[in-house]
Amino acid sequence: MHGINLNETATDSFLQSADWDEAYRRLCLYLRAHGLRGDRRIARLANRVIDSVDRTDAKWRDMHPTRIALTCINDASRAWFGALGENVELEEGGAKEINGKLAMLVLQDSVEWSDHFLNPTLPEDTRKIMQAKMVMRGPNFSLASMSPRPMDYGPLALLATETLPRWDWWPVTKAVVFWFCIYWLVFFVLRGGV
Amino acid sequence: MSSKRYHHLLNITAETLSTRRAVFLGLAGIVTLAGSTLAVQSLGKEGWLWSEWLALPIFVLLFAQLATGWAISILGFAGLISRKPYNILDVAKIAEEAGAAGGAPKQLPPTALLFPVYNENMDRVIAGIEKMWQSLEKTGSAASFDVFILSDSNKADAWVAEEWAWFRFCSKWNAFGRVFYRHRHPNIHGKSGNIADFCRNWGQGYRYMIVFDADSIISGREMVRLVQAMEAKPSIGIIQTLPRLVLGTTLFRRFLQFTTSIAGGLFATGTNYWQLSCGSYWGHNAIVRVAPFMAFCDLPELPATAGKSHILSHDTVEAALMRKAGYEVWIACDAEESYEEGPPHLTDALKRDRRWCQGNLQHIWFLFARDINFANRLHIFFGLMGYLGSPLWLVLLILTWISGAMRVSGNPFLDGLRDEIVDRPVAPAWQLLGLTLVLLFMPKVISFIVHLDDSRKFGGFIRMSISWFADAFLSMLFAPVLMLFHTRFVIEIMLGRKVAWLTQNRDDQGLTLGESLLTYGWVSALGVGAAVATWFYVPDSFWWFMPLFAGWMAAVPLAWLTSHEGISTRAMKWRIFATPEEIEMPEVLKGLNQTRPVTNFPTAPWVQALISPFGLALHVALLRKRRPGSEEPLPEFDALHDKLLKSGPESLTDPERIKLLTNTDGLTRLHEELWSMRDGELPASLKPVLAQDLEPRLVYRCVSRQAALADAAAMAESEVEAAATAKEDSDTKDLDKLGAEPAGAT
Repeated sequence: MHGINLNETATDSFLQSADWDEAYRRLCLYLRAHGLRGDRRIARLANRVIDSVDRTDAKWRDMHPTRIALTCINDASRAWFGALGENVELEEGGAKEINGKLAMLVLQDSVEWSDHFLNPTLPEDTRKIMQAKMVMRGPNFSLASMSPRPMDYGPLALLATETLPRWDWWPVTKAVVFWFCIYWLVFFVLRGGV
Repeated sequence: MSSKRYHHLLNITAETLSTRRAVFLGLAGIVTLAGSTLAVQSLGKEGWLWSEWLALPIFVLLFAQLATGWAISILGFAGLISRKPYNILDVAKIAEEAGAAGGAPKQLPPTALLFPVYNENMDRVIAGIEKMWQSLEKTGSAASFDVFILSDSNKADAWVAEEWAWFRFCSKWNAFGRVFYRHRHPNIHGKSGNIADFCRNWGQGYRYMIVFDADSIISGREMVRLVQAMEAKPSIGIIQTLPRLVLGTTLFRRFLQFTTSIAGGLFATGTNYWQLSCGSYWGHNAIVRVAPFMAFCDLPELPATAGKSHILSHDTVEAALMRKAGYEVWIACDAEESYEEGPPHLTDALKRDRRWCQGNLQHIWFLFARDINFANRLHIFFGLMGYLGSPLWLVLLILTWISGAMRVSGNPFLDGLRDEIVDRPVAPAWQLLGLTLVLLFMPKVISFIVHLDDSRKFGGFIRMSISWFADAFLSMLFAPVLMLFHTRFVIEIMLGRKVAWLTQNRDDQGLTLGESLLTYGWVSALGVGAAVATWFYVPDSFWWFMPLFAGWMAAVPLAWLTSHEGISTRAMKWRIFATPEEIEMPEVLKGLNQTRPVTNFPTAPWVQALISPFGLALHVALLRKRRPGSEEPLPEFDALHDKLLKSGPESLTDPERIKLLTNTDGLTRLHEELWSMRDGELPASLKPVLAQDLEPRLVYRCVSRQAALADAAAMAESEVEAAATAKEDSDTKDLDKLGAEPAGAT
């Protein structure tokens, strides 16, 4: 099973650099953000991650220790969740690391992850419960079409879409003005007559 | 007892429908005719002014609207005392009695409970779902129901808060696999698009869906009854319950609660009398048969000239389409445990009215559409008149005012315009006034009478009477204000203008005096101006117009006072506007008026999805395209990335945050990059975020079921741990001295 190589140790000069101190502090914060508790436990795990770095590896060249440490723990985490969910059939689109982290989150109140996170020798009952929670039972998509049926809006739409746009407003306006004048003319003639 | 007594519900004939419609329309028509005749008589035989000619048809239309309300209340009264009521949920009793007669009760078909949310207060939404969940568990049929929280939120913080609220709920109730969360982006076609999206993706798996609003509540028992009723009568497409307004704390909300509580049942029964199987749908607190809904009820596009081609107010149209397809739509007047919350103050009510107004005006396209049921055309017409009635009323008042002014002698400006003074008969005018008052107040009187038996539920006879008078008084004051705003809405919508509201949506804080002045100052000023003008130009009619002007003048203090809890608390203490739900709170509502926060974010919620490993995992797991590499690369990623790193997460706008949150690869890259950055490179605002305790339990611990236990245990554990670690350290030092490996890993 994947996990941190706990046996590897590092030289004092490597660990004493200020950059590595910064990486160590960041790593502790990152582990705390994973719900791990207990300063000493977190410190121990952070140390193990840093200790596991093979500083002779060319891929770390020119890389800041913080990035190296975070890359290491993310790789280790991916591998750990991958191994944990080896036989787990996820739902479509599921990713073992994502589902695993959610399972870890679900079990926050019942499992003390500070003792188990990234540990290759996970107790069997914890492993089983973790694997069970990795499956996010969502309703599977059962795609179906739903499309509108044609609607005949009747005379109003006919008026709005066909008649009015083609309407020549100028003759209508002239007619309205003409009859309005006639109306007032007749009205005043009648009043004058009275 | 035989279930035959409910069989009249199973077969609604065309004759029954047409007879009932004839009774309803005939009743309203006769009264309208009487009112119109009296109006004509009161104007006399000669000397009509032009303004009176114009006012008469408007008067007839508005009087018909008044008569319709009166006829519904009369029919409602008849329905309430009927020995053979048409309460559609009674068909569920056929199934119940069949189950009781022999054999095990039939298992309910799969039903989805849909909660569309849009930037809502998730504390309240989740609290409501919890209450319904518990209520369903008690029915023994909970396994048939799945819950879907369908988010259309377009604010990043609201979105992430919803995810954590969903997670907290599922953790607490072990509801993974039965309660689902789905976020939709972009939120095309609003709520109707949201429901249609559910139907397209999961609809086939469910026979029914019960649609809720974010603040809706239906008890488990009622949901089971709804499903049983649908099962008993397969021709039903939709059953709409009559939600009661509850949980009000402000005076405005409690006033609305009392009004709907005392009169809602009467009007619903009256409406049900003439509608029966041709009812309407209000978009929430209703059960829908999924298959015909998917087949027939997707909303068509409006004609091209309609400007905005999408239908805003979908429910009425969906009911019409369901009827067009041959399925029945019912209003369940007897659904007792269906609730929702009303707007907390006048401004919120007006905001809602603005949306409804635009939606209802759009329905005009369906008024003459082919194959639409007559009852649905009536619904559409009544809906239109609900808002067009306001400008018509205003025009009528202006014309009446002008007519009055033109008949006053000695007016230097108007003398030239007026006709000769003609003596008008007085008796018909008084008769018309009497008839109008009867139409206005009889529904209220009837609603009072039907509740005399259960006045205890409203605080007792005396308190119910005081509440009734206060309700009539407040209605009288609010009506002219609503009339002005509705008129403004209609004009603005016609001109295609948008409204900028001067207040924020703050349910619990009410309106400030400044906000009230800015929003309603013009109404009060208009009231004062109109009163002064009337005093000088139409002194004879001054007191007739006074109720109208009083409402306008009081708009500012009225809106302000009714938006606060202070005066309402006193009223509640004296049981003024008390409702049955206040006197005896139903189990499903208990605790909802004091909801506790579901989540407690140490940062802005969306930053959790960016920084917290669990926040990211939760967010990505709930994205549709969540497999890295399964989506298109975000073109703006580099720009957003640079902006975020330069100015911090708070510098991103909501649309930019949403872009990041919808992109799995981009978000994951940013998350890893931020954690890998050196202290000196980190944006200043993110340094404290990374440095603070991002422990996920802190987000939802505040209300976690196990939180209390965990806290107690943590205290004990820390002591044990400290002792154990001290011992372990000492052992490790010993081992190191011996050159051994570090102590065991587990």
